Amino acid sequence: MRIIIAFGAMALALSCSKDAETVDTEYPVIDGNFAGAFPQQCGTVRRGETFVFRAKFSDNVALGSFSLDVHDNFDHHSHSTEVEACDMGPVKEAEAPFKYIKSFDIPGAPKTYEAEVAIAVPADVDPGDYHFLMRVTDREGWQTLRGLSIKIE
Amino acid sequence: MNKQNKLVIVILVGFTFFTWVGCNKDEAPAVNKPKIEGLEVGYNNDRIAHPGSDLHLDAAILAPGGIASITLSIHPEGEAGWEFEREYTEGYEGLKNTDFHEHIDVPADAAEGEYHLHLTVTDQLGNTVEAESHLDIVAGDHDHDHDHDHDH
Repeated sequence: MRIIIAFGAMALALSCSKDAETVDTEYPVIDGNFAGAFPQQCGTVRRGETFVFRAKFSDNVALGSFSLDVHDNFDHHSHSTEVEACDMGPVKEAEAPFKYIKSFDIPGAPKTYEAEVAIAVPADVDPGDYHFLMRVTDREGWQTLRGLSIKIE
Repeated sequence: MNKQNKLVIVILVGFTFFTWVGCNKDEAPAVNKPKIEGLEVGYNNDRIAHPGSDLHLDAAILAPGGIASITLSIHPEGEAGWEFEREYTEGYEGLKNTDFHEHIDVPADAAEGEYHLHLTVTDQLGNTVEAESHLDIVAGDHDHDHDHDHDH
């Protein structure tokens, strides 16, 4: 009988816990569909004013960082991740396009985070069609990109 | 020891062996090699660039082993012409997936002709994957993107 118990213990010891080796393969999530989320698809921001970017991010394990990238879309270009077009102005040349590229660390590796960033749009930039891209990366390195088309008036 | 106990021992030895083998498999999970999908060269993937303008590039990269670097190289099909090589790590290193989106300035004196473009992704385990494309550098009138500092 002791032998049986000994083998049972050995079997348990040699097998390993699968839970400890679970690999995180889930992408973080960007939520822009709540009251107060800004900007919205096809939304407008004004030159010479400061707007506040607001979105909620979440991840199954831990969030790491996010970045914002606002650039002109005067050439009607595309991104591999669908950025839906709005009612766009004609293709034109950029003279003084607004450009904003910045990365932010999300401290404390939380599962959810509400981002709030004030972005000042100078009065002398080109008005027109712009892309507003947000990238959120979890601690594991999975990245989610969400792109909006907006207008600067 | 009776017959029944012997049988139980045989079963347990077998069980122990299987759990041990099973464990070994789990310990070294195969990490998938990197992938490049939907490489877009030029607007609407027209594979055309103009001297003095910029070349739009876009690709979805998946690297479960974590991106170590992304290398872009452009060279002429013939012997002479414009050569470009750049390694991108900033903003990409450590990511397991990303949208590679870059605009490459094509110098105004780049020779017209047929070119070849290679995009190589190396992950942190040393695995690499390459995507390639043909590229024509053509002078002349174009619809968009005349130049200026427009390199997002």
